[in-house]
Amino acid sequence: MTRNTVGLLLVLVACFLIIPPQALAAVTVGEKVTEFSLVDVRTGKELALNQVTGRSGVALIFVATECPYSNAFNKVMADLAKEYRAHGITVVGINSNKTESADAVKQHADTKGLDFVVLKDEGQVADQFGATRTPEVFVLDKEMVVRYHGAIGNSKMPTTKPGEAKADDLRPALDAVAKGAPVQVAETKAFGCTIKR
Amino acid sequence: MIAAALMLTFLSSTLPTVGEDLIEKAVQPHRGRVVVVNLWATWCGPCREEFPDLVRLYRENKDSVVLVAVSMDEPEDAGKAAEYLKQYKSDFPAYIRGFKDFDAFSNALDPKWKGAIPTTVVFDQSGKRVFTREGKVTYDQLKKVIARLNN
Repeated sequence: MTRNTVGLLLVLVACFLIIPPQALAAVTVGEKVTEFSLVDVRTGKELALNQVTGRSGVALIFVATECPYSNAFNKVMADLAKEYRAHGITVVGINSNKTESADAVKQHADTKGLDFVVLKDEGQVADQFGATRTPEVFVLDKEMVVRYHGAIGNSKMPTTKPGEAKADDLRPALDAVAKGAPVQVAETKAFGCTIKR
Repeated sequence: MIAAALMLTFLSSTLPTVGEDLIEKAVQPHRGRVVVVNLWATWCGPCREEFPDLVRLYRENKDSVVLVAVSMDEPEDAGKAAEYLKQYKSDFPAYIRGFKDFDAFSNALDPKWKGAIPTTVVFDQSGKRVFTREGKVTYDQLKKVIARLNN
């Protein structure tokens, strides 16, 4: 091994030490994501991304059990899941908080009416997507390409009040993906609680 | 204005608001000192965990550092937020969110801020943003930043 090669290796190692994993792995709008599998909190079975994606796409929503900003959108998420099923888009919740067990996540999903698949992540999928907060949405089309990233709604005035929560940011993106049309506003700012890694 | 903010916090168990005017209202008045802006909420566990460290750092460096606590609780929960701050004698400026447009507020804080709390942003003595941390910040991390700016 030449001295130059050793030097290059050292630089590479240094890069990995300095850059946090999520910064390396964050996906961006327009990028195709790689397949992953996570456990469904209700059945305990592993589900792959392609198994939870509808014929037009999927809205992956990072959620939490105790975050008021996430909980404000429980009904909004359930309503979207119901409504967009007919348009071929599924809503899937992902809980990546290390502090929340699969059992707690299941109980929360059942008692809060999250009538859609909720997956438990130990942080690797949050890292893959570069997700940092709840609620935070990534909409993928049927080709697994990210078409929207950001808030469910209320991005101009974040709220913890369920009565005020709406899907005004996400809905136009879902409508576009359902039609195979370009998403006009592909990024919004999602405010919320830190994902606890 | 700061004195008024402190008095309000202390006397009426409520908090003044801050929004798009974050820099003019909460950072610029402290020119000459390092300003540590912390976004927190009463319901935010990691925020409550890190808060004692922030207060400790502020108290150890009062001559050169000011802590500005911005509660992201709903405005009607200002009383709850003020109540929480009372245990720290509220001897630093504290506000509650009062923005009209979240984007404008977050751009004032840091255009690169992704939107998670807790978040801590440090401005140097000239008001320039020098450090942003989303998620819990540690005493040592902040101490290093402050030491560098004070040298």
